[in-house]
Amino acid sequence: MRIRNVGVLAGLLSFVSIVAACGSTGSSAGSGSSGSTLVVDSKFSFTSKDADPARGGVDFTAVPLFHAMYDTLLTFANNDYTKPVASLASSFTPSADDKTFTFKLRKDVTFSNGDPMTSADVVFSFLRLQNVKDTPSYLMAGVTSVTAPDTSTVVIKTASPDPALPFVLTNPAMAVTNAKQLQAHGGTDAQDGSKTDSATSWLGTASVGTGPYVLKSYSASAQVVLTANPHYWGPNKPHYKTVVYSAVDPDTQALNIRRGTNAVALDIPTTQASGMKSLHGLSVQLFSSPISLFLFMNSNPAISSTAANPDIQNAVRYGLDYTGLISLAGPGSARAAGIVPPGFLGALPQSDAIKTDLAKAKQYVQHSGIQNPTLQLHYQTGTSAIVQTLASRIQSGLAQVGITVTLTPQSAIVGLQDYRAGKDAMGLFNWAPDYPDPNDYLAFIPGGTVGLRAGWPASANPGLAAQAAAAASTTVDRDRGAKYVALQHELNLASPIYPLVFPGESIVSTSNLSGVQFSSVWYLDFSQIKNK
Amino acid sequence: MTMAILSVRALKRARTRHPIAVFVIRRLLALVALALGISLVSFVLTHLVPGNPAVANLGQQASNDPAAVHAFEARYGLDKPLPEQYVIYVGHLLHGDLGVSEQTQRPVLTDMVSYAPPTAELALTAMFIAVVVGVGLGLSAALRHNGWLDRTVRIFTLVGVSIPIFWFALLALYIFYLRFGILPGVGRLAPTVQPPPTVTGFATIDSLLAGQWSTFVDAVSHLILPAVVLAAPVTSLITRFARAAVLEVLGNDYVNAARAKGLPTHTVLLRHVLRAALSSIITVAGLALANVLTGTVLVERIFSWPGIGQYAYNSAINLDLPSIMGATLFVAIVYTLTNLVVDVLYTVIDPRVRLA
Amino acid sequence: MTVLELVDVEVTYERSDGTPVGAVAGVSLSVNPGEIVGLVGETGCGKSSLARAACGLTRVTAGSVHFDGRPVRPLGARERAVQDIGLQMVFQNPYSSLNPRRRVGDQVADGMRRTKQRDGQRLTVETLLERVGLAPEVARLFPFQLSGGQRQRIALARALAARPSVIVLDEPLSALDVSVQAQVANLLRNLADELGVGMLLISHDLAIVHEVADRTVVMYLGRIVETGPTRELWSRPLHPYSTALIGAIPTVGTVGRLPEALIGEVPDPAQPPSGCRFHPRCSAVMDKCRSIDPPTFNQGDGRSMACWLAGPDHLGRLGESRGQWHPS
Repeated sequence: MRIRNVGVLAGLLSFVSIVAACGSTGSSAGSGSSGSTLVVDSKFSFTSKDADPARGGVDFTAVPLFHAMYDTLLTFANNDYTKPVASLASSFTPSADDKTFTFKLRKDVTFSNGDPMTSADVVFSFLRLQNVKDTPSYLMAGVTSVTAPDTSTVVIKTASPDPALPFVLTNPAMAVTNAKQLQAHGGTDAQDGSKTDSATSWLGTASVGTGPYVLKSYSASAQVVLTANPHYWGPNKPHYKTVVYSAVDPDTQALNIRRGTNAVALDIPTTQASGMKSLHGLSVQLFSSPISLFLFMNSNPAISSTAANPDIQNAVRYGLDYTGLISLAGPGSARAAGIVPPGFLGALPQSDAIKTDLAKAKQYVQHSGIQNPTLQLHYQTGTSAIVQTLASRIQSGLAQVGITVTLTPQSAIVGLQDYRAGKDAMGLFNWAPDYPDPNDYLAFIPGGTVGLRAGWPASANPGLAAQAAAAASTTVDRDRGAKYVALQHELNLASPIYPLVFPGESIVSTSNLSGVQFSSVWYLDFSQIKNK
Repeated sequence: MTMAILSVRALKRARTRHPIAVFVIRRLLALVALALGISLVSFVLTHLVPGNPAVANLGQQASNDPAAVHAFEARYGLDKPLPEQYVIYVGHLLHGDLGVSEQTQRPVLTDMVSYAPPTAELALTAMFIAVVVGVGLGLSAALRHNGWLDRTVRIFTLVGVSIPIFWFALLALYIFYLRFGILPGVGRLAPTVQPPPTVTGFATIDSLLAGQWSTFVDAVSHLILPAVVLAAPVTSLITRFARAAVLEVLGNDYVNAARAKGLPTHTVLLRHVLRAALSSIITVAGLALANVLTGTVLVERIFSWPGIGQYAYNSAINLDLPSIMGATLFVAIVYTLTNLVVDVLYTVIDPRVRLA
Repeated sequence: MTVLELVDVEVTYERSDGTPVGAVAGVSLSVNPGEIVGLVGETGCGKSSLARAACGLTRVTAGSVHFDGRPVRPLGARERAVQDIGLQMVFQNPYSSLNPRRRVGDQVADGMRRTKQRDGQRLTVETLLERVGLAPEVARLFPFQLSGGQRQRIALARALAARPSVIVLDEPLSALDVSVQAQVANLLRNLADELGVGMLLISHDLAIVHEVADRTVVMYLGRIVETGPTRELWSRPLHPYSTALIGAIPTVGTVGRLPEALIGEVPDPAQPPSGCRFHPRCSAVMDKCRSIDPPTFNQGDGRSMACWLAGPDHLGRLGESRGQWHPS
């Protein structure tokens, strides 16, 4: 053999072995799923914490899993988020003062291991959620007792009137779990649950719910496999025997869906997704997310006297280029007329939104007497690409009315702390609804969670605070809606927090699927998806 | 006293009889000290980050609730002074306890055991590709110094080290997966394929052990794209070094002498050229492994590969301190061990280091 | 019976800027069995290029190199023909000419298989080491454990393993200590005498050449200017360049140095002077020398030189020279 051939041979050999491997596996390539498997691509990163409803994140990437494995006492039907309907509870009765809620449970419900569900399971699940004091435990705030007078009745009492409680109960974290099974694996509903409960890692290996699917396996952060629950009690058995919920980078999702069958992609950027409408074999849904993006100015003069100046606050209110921001946010985005998302009780119609008025804004700047007002805008990078774009647009828009904005992007873990401590002079952040009820938006009133982050205590506007308290304790749904509409009108005119946009989202699915339906509460219901 | 003298003697004897073994043992002892140092540095660094783990881990609502924040801090010992936290950490570390991950609620060691094999499988495959192709190309390019092959290789290696890995990953996916469909997309196995029972944690080996031939084929086909993408920049690096090393060796008169003796071609290449070029190739391969480990963070994300890279990334964005510490220690130890192996290999291949 | 014969060899290489350089510009010489031919000249005169061409390391631009009557094929990537293995070489630097990672015994043994293939018999490493004056135990050592002189002996043993008929030695002693040089030089002499190996010994060290060479060839700027039996050439150099060179040696047996007596520097071989290449530095330069390159004149007794002093017009000045044309 001649010398120079040896090197080439080595290279060639390795190449040939690769090509040979390719050739032999050609058939398996692109086999996204066979007939009985549904593949859903999501950008989530799953950990066993996300399999424990009492501890898991409440963000949208994890809720479809909870919803598939666990049921709640109440739920919503037909995308109507203004009225909770029966699920595990066949009926519920609030007391006249909205402080005691009595639930009658269905008697035909079994857990995925065949155990019948009883009121004891409900009590255990709710108390465990309350006592582990983890991410979703706040949902139980204000609940003073959960009791079971008999095996099919549950009574929940709250400290103050809580007309939103039925809405809260639809949250996937309010899952009903099998008490016996959980206790056998370290679960506890005792008061010191934050120290003693140790069932979470086991919940990464098995599910203990009544939902249409059970957890089969999760392989680290890559994928979660669900199989149909053989003991499912509901009338509609799930169509797909297996659901694979895969963690896939958004860039790769667009490739996957184009080769897939029985496949759904949840995180393709809307600009790209709307371009995929023309592709054969895909169906694209664009919709606005219920996560509101808002801008705030800190009313605490100690943080920034410029941001706290009411004239400057008004100048920003009328100087923002709302239309431009919507178009930048991409297809599917919607203007946030008020802070409550469309479809929820008390949401404002688009026509009630604040309109851009540059002349007015310039007058306010002049009136403020501040020469060359300058503001620092804080926002998080890495959460969403559009935040950076919107921040730049806010900067250029406000420059037109004479306000200088400097951009201060921060990483999520660093930025959140100052924001939550109320130290940012101006911020661009978002709010994801915890449950589809306007009560969740009391955070935006003076003295509310976000209000305080904007340096806006109840004392700053006692009138608004009182108006909000009245809306919160109203018990008749019709009146609640009206009161929240009125409240948001006031907020739009007076608040240092400006709702901007409900950003667009997309769900792209292969067109052989039906029932791929976005939900503001559980994002996607796997059991509703069928092969046409 | 006598004992001390005896042991000194024994050590001397051991040093002369088993120089490599003594060398390795000494380095391993140093490794323990190094691990402690690394743990201190990474501990201080992770705690210097101006973020709050409780805020990062608990949601909007829960992080407003002092009870939830307190429960969180008590569970992970974050309510104690920093030096005390470190002492507790090291105390546990010495017992092999890396703490419990805030994200997965599992012991970090358990996490490592489940996340490390996929990374190892990917990284070793990438290294294998990089070394075989890199040395092959480097050798053939050097043998035809300034020929067309040499020029082509030089251009490609330049491209290889310059292109961003994520771009290359997407391009590879686009061509081989979307466009022609000859390779599968992301993940370790097709979603419909039942994973083999875990023995080694390597999907390829485990499927073979279980006798599942089709699973093995699926695992291999899923491994190719990410491994090639991960190997690309490193292959370029190794090619360039191998080419330079071989060129240098070819200039030595002993190669001419060997040829003049009429030695067969492969003997000249193996005994003289490659053997002499090996030490620089091993050096660069050791460096390359560091590159590969860094690259796994990106490649694992794009290819949905459940490895240490993803784990480290998720831990970092969630300020999951025990996991960050665990992943850092793991990578540091792997890197140090690699260096040790490189050094041992030096002594094996180069008598000057071994006997001097 | 010549074993190595070079006829009109030219070696031209290109500088990085593309200028062609005629390092060797038409050289003819031959080596007989058992004969040591010493090739001397200043640094840059083309000795090394000629040595490399002689053993096939460099491709000749023109002319031919024959070994055992067969043209020598350039040493390339392909395996060497078994007939060419009798042509061996020893390099200047004993540090780079031995593989640092292999035991010297293995390196000596390399290629013995091919030798056996050719001769049907096989030497042992021990014999070879003994022949170059080394103990058999040395075989187990690595090059870095040896001194420079020992290494050069190993290089010799390695060459001898091929049972060569000719060894080309390119400055084999220049890297060695003075005391060691003499020992190795004697070794070369003995090997030539005992084994009948022809050697082309290239050196700028005149003393060594004087000591061991049977014949001496003087080279200047790519050309051979004078050839003759060592003793005669040394006692009575003919060419003005040889005179200057040999006159520069203080005493025989000490280290020879470059001819400091010569004025000027060696010209750039890319632009050799017109006429006789030596004329700008020659003490006896004539008009003719500036325009016409002198041919090689046979001077009898195995001597020849390329100088117009030996030409028809100047017979008188060269005493017993018969001054015949020797067209090349």
